[in-house]
Amino acid sequence: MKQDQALLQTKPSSIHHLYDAYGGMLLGYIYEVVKDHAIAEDCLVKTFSRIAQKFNEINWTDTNAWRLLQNFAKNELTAFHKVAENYEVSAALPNAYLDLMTDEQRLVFCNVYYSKNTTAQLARQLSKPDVEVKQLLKAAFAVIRRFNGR
Amino acid sequence: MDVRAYIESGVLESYVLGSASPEETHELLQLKQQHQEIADALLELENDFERLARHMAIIPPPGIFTRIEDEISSLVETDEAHPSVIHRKTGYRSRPDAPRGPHFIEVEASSNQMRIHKAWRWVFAGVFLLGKLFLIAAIYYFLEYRQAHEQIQQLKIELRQYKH
Repeated sequence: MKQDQALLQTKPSSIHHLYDAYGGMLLGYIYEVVKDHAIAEDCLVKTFSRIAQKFNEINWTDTNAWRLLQNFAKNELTAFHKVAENYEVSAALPNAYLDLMTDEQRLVFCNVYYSKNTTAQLARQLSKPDVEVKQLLKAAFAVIRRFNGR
Repeated sequence: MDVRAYIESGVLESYVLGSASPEETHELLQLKQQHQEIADALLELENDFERLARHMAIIPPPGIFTRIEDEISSLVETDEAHPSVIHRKTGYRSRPDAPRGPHFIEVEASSNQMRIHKAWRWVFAGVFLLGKLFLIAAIYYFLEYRQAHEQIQQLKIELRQYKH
């Protein structure tokens, strides 16, 4: 009971709380993959119901909530990932972050961000060393940080 | 271990995007406990990651959360013996190591708002209108009463004058 109380105080305590905080972010993320509002909304509903099922099993204190939710969404989007081997590098919505990246950075970032590929798998697909793919990913994050003025 | 080189390797970015291998993830989680610098760098990346997602957010149309609630309701069974306890269909409770206590799926534990059926708006509108009608009637009868009272006082005065 005390553990539950601590959880309530430090981390998202309910599905409603999670939805308020991350619903829009998840919908934006899903939409970029499926590129259809109705399908994206269906997928959002399924993602949250899946999270509700696992809610009490998740250790919310040690994990970044957004990273976790995004992983749930990625699992729901598996079928879309199988259809699209390589994620389209152009975002469906205007995205200043992606516009500032080089073509290579954008290719790596989008393929990792929107799919379940590991950097090692992507490196094989792109015939590049894993180290180089990771460096491109790092450079993409540096672009995001610069855009945020940090 | 060269912590700076590890941070610069891009493993942290790969982990944040969920694309690190299980071995890399395991190693990173261990190193995070041992080196505060790695923990700080990871936290910073997670913040950047959230900022990016917020930038690309789409406000969900109204009614989506109701659909989520419906979906959750369709996934859970209510135990007849304990109506307030929700059991999952997934078989999670059948695990031998699963705690025996009741399991809840919290939906609105911390919310200070409540949801009611739309039909209640007509009830509230009716109560509001009735309230207004009673208020008007009360004001009307009060004014009538005051006027009548004044007339009675006037008549009493006149009566006293006749007696004298």
